[in-house]
Amino acid sequence: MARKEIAKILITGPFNAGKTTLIRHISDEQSSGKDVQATDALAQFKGMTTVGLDFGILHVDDTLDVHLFGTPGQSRFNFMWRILSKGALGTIFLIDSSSQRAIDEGKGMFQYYRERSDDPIIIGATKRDEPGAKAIDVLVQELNVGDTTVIPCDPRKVEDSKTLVLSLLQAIIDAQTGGVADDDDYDDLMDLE
Amino acid sequence: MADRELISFKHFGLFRKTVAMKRTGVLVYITHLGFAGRIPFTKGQLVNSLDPIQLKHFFTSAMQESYWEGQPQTLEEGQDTVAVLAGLLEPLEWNEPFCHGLSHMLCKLPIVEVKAIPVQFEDYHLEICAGLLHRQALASSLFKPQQFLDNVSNSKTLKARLKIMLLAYVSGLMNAKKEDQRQTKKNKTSGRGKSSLANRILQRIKGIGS
Repeated sequence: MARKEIAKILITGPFNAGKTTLIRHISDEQSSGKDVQATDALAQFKGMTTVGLDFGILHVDDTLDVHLFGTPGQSRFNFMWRILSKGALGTIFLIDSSSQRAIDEGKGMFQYYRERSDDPIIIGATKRDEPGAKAIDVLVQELNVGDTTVIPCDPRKVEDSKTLVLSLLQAIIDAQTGGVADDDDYDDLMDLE
Repeated sequence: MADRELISFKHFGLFRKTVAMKRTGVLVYITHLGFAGRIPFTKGQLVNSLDPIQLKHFFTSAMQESYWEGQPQTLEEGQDTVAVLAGLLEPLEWNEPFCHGLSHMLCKLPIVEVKAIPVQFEDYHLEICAGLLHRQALASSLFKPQQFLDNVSNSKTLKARLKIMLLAYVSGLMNAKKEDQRQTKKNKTSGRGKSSLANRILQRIKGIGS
């Protein structure tokens, strides 16, 4: 029996951005992602948090599975970010655009990834409906992410989660083929019905 | 690190990494993930299992060093971080000095009989192992959780159990390195491979929920 091919996608970003939710929506099987009561200073912001890692499997066909790895958001797990990012096709970086704390932390986190990998990365700006959510252009500036694609999204909506992953996949394809996504490509991705 | 540890790690075949380990030590990271009662270790039991010298070392380390602001921050690319996200400690608040001291203690354990540990790992062992003692991760089809648990449960002493956990993790580390090398080689030879994979996944994602 032929060995099944495995592709890996990393979902990362600071604390409380929606990583666990996104993985839930995209996976056929979710093997981890145990939420526990937050016990540290962040508990005031979020009651439950992920420990270890989130892990989901999406079965593509008989010969290919996608492994979705979600990193813990807290900076104390930073040693795991490097471990988890190895061998990934690309990375989705989620950030709570309504939280200055998340943006401040996300800036360093994003640079950490960028410095260690040339693999495609896209940013999903979440919590757009929260008071104080930053405009995308402000977010780009504050995160200092250059021309990295930033997509407003709500991971609680399946279609938004799909759009994020599809955008990343398109970026991976473009990176390999030398193509550049144009507006039509983006519209195609958004037109999921 | 003492020669004893270096020798013990050679049992894994980590010859090339012993130099780096000698410089940096081996970080064993313990968090408060639980086995949900399957292996109900407590902090007290753990500490009680140590001999007086280890215990002294443990508390000395705990008092003198700050885990998060210390050594782990200085680890550099290519250096090994042996991380065990362990369920050893029933609800342990984030007590960094304790973790740091514990990491020192675990590094002192002589590690033997590697080949006798029949833990099987498959792809991305390292990542899975990072959540190794995570109950949900144990349910993953990617490795043999029951076998692993049996090994742990059948061990007579706490120390033996700790060793198995550490061994399992490092075994995963080794296999993951091989996998990394294989993957890197594959990626270098097949730039279009990623594009092809992405295309196939893209079609699958589009189908979700429809």
